Amino acid sequence: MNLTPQGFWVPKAGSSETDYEDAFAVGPAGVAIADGATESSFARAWAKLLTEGFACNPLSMSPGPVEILERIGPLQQQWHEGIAWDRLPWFAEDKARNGAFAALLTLRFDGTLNEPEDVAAVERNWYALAIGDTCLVQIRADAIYLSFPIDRAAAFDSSPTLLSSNADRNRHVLDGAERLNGTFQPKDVLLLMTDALAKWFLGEAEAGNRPWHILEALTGEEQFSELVDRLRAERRLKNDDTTLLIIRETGVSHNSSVDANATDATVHSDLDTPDSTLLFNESYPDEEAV
Amino acid sequence: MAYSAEISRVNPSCFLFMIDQSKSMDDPFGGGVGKKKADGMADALNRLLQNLVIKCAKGEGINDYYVVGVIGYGAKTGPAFGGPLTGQHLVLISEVANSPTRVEERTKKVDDGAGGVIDQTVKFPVWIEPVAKSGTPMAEAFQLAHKILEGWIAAHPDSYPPIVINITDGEYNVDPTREATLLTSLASTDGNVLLFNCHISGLSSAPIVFPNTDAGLPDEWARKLFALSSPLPDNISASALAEGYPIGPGARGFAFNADLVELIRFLDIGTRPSNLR
Repeated sequence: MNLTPQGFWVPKAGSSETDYEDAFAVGPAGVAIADGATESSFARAWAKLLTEGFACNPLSMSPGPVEILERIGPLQQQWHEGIAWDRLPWFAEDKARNGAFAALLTLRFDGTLNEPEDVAAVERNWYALAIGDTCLVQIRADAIYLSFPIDRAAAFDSSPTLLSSNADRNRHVLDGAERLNGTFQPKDVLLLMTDALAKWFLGEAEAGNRPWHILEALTGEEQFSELVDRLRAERRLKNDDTTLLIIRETGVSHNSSVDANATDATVHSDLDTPDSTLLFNESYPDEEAV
Repeated sequence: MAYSAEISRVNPSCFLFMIDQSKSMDDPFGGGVGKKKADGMADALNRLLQNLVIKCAKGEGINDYYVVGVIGYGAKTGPAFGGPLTGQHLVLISEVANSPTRVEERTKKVDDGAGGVIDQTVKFPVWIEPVAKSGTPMAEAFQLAHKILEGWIAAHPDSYPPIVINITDGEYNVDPTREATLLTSLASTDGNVLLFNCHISGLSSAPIVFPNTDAGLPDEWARKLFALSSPLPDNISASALAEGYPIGPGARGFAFNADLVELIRFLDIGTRPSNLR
């Protein structure tokens, strides 16, 4: 059974695409989705580094704290090197010294997303790690089979513990990390959502609705954008960057699927900086490497 | 629900500071020697402005989530910013960020991560210098605040309500209750103007922050300023409580011999990591 991820994203209303601070990436064996915190600087770059790093170089199926920290260390270094510290004004330097923060959810499969037909298993094992409030919901037999790491709409607040680019801020972050092993069966659907969408989704489910029907029916970015606009206008969805990654069995129609065959992480092309050394410039619409 | 409007560049909110520049601010602060109340006031305001600027800092720039004004009252009542902001009632937070009159370097003790503390040099921007002259026309300052915010709210009717922070030793000439009440009767569709008071006292009593009763306050000035202070909105109380502040029901935006810098942290402009302190 091969798996196909499909990503959708919309920035916060009133913000431009270059202000978008969520990120998602798809690697050969897994995916990662992150939500950079509004109240930190260079969070967009941090979210992007985390998703690319964890999608490209996925964790083992049962990683310990040392393995996780070993993945984060080089990403923190890259983030730090990406900032032109000497040209920051006093307030920007002060803010950036605190580090950037992001929620991270990574999901890896046993084997690659696309297995050769002759070795493809009927059931696929997966391992998920979550730090913060980005959520994974598994749909099976037209019902929520599991919701991870948050399973109630009321459990979201605006002060989650997040993964920082500043190691000093991460002293206790792995204590709060959630891990889960699961299996993907034919016709299952995995929905990875940043917090605003996940809160709406769980609230709808608690009200007896089946919001996965709405998300599974999405065929493209435009439809997703319309859905988000409508829910925001009805004050049912918090105005925040909103990202959805759907993983289904290959064969279902996907108009904007990301390429799961890539050997490196694939990130939405609009989010790529022209320079992979990632010198960040978050504040201006005409983003460019400096 | 009141006090739930989004604060963003599209829907900014407003901070108006009122600073006591009267002669009595020349007296010693907190029962100590050396530091005057006027020094305590200037430090409190400069730290508030610094924290507000850093809260809005994003990447290399600043997101204009707030407009900011400072009213001084003493020998005269009027806008108190210096330098390029002189004479302006309200300016963008980005203009504040780019216009300190100087940036000092100060030393602070920080956790070294191994159970000890080390000295770290930090930048301390200064916008306001200590001033101590003449009487305490607090009522007049509330009138000016009313005039400024009436206009601002008319232009931003759905904004998160303006927050007024008054830093004073309380020793006013004329009881300002009427003017303060008029000020807090101004409202956007999201709630009434919030008035928080920061009492810089000559008494050496221990600092008190966000009390819900005046029972433990050491003098009449403190009790009067407490009475003029707005209750904390629920979401600010909840944030403060979550960070370990002993907030009781009906807690007010009042601090005795303490600054209100922590308040800045509790303002909701988006996801704030709990491990960012």
